[in-house]
Amino acid sequence: MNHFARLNDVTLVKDMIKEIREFEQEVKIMEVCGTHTRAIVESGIAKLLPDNIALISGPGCPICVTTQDYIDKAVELAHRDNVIITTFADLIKVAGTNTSLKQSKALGGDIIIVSSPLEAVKVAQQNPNQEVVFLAIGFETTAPIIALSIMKADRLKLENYSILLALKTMPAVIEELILDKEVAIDGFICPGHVSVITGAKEFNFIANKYNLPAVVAGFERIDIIMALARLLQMIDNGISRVDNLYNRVVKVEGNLKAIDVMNQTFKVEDSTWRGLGKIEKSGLMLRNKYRKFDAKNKFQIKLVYQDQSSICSCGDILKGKKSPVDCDLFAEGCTPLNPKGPCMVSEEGSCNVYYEYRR
Amino acid sequence: MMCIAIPAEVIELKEGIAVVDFGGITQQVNIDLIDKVKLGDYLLIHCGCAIERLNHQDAKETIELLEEVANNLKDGEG
Repeated sequence: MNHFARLNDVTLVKDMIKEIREFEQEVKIMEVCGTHTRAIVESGIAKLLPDNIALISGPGCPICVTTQDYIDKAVELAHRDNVIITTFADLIKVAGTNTSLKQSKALGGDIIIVSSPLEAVKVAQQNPNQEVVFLAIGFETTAPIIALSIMKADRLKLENYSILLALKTMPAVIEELILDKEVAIDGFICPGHVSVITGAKEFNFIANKYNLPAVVAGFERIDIIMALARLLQMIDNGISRVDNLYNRVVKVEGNLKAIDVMNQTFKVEDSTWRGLGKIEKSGLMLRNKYRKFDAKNKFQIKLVYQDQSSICSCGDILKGKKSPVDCDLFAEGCTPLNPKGPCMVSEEGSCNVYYEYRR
Repeated sequence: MMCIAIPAEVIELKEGIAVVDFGGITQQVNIDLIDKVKLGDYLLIHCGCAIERLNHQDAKETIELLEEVANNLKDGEG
């Protein structure tokens, strides 16, 4: 029997859907990861839920939490004579203070889109007379692969590869949301692919320290239904525990090889999140032995975050205080083709998802 | 799509690299983060790199988990 095929069999969760729809208590559940937001809305699960179950999108969209000053510096670098910027595709659409990388590319900025940081290393090998900078954003899912790119560049003794680093990590930002009384989440769906790397244990603090239930969940429809059913069971029975419901790829301890590669390359530091500000111990920096690959050092760049409050509500949306439809700009001045805020840019951004499916 | 990771089957192995099949589309991926990759393995791919191995036993466990959650609903237990 093919068990993978059975994972698409929605009849398996029919009873669960019924129980979820009959749940009476008012609850707020946060899906931290943008890929979950997309799966929840795309699958129609959002529309199945009764009004008393509020699903709130969290800050787990790397593009959405990248600050304007980061984009500004990337744009500035792209226009230097001997620099090639390599980046994931989504990031080029995000506006900095004045411009995006996409606009910068149209004006002659040297920008190459890659699907992997390892591809960026190849670009550096092929262009020995130019500086190749990879825009290193993402969470724990992506961090080990960026670490591999650094190790590879080091092995190849590449002098012309560096990364503009803004990698972020999940636990501290979740803790920040738990402590924010205005947010008041009753249970969490933890990011599934971050957990592949970190292990489900990374999120145990949600239950152990804050007495809240959480599940690590996959991205199929039945994964999400199961996650909701289990969370509601725990909430109903006053149980706080972190259950790993994605054990077909998530281990308790995570991918130890990936964790090792990450730890060899990076150490923890404070990080600034767009819309949320500075959060202690929520980011990664290069260890001293790899500092030569740090574009901030190499090009004497200092990131200075200024919270550019505008009428855009991305900050409150990332914290789950507002729904995309509560923003004055939603679908009016801000659309995926002409995004004003980062949540409308990325396909994992909640505004983008809502625009596509809910308008 | 930054945190998307997709399962694919290993159809060829080269030094430090696997060729994987996403149901018709093939790609070379880095396998430095996975021990002892074999032909026919299903790997979870993110940004050109395998980040975990899946197996049928694990998928079976997901089904078992489902049944457990469903049973709990009926029993009204946590």
